[in-house]
Amino acid sequence: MMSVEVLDSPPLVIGLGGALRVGELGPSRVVLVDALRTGRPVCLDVGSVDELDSAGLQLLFAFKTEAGRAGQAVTWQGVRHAHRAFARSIGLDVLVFGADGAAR
Amino acid sequence: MNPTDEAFARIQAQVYQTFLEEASEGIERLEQQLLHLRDGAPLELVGELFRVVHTIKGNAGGFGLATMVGLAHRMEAYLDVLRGGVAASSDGVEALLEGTDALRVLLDAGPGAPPEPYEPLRARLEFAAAGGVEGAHEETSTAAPHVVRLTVAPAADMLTFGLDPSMLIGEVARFGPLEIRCEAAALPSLAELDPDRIYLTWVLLVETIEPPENVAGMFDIAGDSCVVTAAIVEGVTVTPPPPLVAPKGSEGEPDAAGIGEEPAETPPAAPSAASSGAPGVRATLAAAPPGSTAPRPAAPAPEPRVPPAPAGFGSLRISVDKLDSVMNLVDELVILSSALAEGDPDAVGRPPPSRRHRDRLVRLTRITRSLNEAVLRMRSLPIGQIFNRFPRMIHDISARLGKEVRLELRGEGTELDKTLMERLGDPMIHLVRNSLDHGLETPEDRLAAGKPRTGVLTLSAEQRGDHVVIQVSDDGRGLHCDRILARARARGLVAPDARLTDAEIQRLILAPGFSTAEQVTDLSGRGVGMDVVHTTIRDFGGELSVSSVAGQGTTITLRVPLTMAVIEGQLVRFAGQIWVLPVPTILECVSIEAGRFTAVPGRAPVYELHDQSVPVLDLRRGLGLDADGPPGGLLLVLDAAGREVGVLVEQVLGRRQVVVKRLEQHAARVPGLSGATILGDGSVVFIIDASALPDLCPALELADLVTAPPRAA
Repeated sequence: MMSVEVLDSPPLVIGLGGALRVGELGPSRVVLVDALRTGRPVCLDVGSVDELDSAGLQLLFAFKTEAGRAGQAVTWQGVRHAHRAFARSIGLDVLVFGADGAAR
Repeated sequence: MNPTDEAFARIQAQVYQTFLEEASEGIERLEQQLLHLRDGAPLELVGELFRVVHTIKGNAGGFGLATMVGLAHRMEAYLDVLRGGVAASSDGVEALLEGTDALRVLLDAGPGAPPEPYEPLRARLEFAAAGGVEGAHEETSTAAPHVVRLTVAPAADMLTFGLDPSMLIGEVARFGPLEIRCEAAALPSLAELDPDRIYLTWVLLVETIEPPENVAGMFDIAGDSCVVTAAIVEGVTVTPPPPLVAPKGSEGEPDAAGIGEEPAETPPAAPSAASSGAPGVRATLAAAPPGSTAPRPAAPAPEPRVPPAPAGFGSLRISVDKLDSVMNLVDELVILSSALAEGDPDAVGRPPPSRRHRDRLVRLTRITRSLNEAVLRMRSLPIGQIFNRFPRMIHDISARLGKEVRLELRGEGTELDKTLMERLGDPMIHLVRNSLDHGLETPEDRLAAGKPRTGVLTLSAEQRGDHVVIQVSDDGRGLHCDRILARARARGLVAPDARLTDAEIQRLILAPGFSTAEQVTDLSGRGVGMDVVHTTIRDFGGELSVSSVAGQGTTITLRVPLTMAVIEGQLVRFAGQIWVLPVPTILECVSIEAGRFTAVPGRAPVYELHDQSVPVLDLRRGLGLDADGPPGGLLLVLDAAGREVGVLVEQVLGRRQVVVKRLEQHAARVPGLSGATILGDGSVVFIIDASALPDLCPALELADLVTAPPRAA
């Protein structure tokens, strides 16, 4: 349910899709770890994520935090209102997706 | 709504329905058992009541029923004190009973219930919990809002149990404006992170009038899967996040569970309903099934947020609608099976079916009957479910009347069809109220009559064959036959010169509008009671009888069928038509001999049988049928509500299981008929209500009696 596409120019765009939820996060974590190792800016495209739970958000949060510490820029694509609303319900919307309207 | 949303909503509704059912059962349990606290109930019982309230509180918290949580919390606190061995005060028990009533009201009201009306009750519960010390818990009942700070630390494996922190955190917003701070101190590096474990913790600040323990109660549903602390904090301001901007075209309800076709890049528009509604943030997936994400069709569905089933996995909760649909199918099968057993009427002249075919038919009939019985058993419930309503009712009514009453229950485990059970509830309530109001005396009157000051009201049930016999008896003043007879004569119900036995006089209380109550009360004595009870019982094929001894008490006996759905029917023919009589009502069938009839002036002629005189009724006239020609040469002796009566029929046909169709479902109730059924050939025949015949049928006129030789039985 995911694809890694290296574009001609940075950032590295990672498409996540399907279920980002407990029990189904292992492959996504591996891809995100690999993305961190590249040291390149990363654009996470979550437009195809149609299931999300606290574990999924925690994974995105961990990635964003660690990338920030490493100086890797993280941008978002395809963030839906539902993604943000769910993140807000556990206080993670700004921490993960940035301020409202920032994620595009 | 997309398909995922629909599935999501359906699961939510199912889970909430389960909560309603279980909470109702818990409340009933409380009603039944709380009264025992007055008598120094054992600590095991107190502990059980505590757990019941705790479960209600926890589950209510899971659905955001904050008022219910608050009230249950006070009840729980008092029960917790009692668990420590403190004796319950009568005021405390009354407060618990009122709390139970309030829980029922709140359960019916759902999430919109206002908190205000229960503040005095909560204060009384607090007062009781403090051992009757005023103001002991004043700080928790203040109406001024304060800020409660909660720390929420989910167990690392919480998600694998089907619980998502979002479900619980979101519910806190129902208490007031909410600020959510997520903390990640324990979050490991991505390489070390186990994605199925939760490392995050949360600090929640909520502005509310509720005490901290009530707010924390929202997390009870998580049990050991979440560690929560709660305390009031001073000098802290709650800053809820600004409303989330919903994209244009959004339906307003953010849906992370069933994230559908919502565009991601749409410009901001109006605030969503979810984010703009007060107070504070409303959790997106607050009521979502566990895992917080809706199950996709292909994915294994996570466990719904259902509280643990008290009966364990050996039982299954199933809707009555589903059972009824199975029941209807079985009814059809019974009819079809009867049709096959009757054979093909067009097959005259053809070779009879083979033995193997006949054996298969017999087997089919047997299996159909077993299937029918199995479904009926599934629909059966212990009558204790009705009986258990009464301790509380008797407690309240006897207190109002200034009477002392001890209730004895027997045979609570006796099972009865659910539909019958529902219809029995109101008649039983009326009978019990009658006993309390008119039967049982005040302590002073009882002592003056040489009786113990406490009266005894007994409810009993027992299965006898395909019927259940239920009795409501008291050791009160009994029925006064002279007063009943005088009233009946005054009302023209009895001829001035009629001589009636005590039993016949006592049955007069079943006459419409009959009442000897000197004072109409709000409990009974309106004169519309016993006849309605009688009619209701008869409507579903039951019988009611009265037995009373003046000064010693009264017993009302209800004899009701185990089920209303299928009966063993005897087909008979009279007046040129086929009819069904319930087999249990037929005591005997004989060919009549002319010399055995004896005319009795003013009463039905009797038929001498086994040295007994059986009054013979005119069934045809009773049912309003054309009475020309001889009434028939076969005498059926019937058990009509405890009275033996005879009726004449022309022919006795086969016996079979018949599916009872209530006439009231299709037409007005017809006196003397308890329903209709469809025979295998598709014809509709009526089922005779034997218990109604003595009141309905005139005496047979011997002049009509031209005996005809009986046809083949």
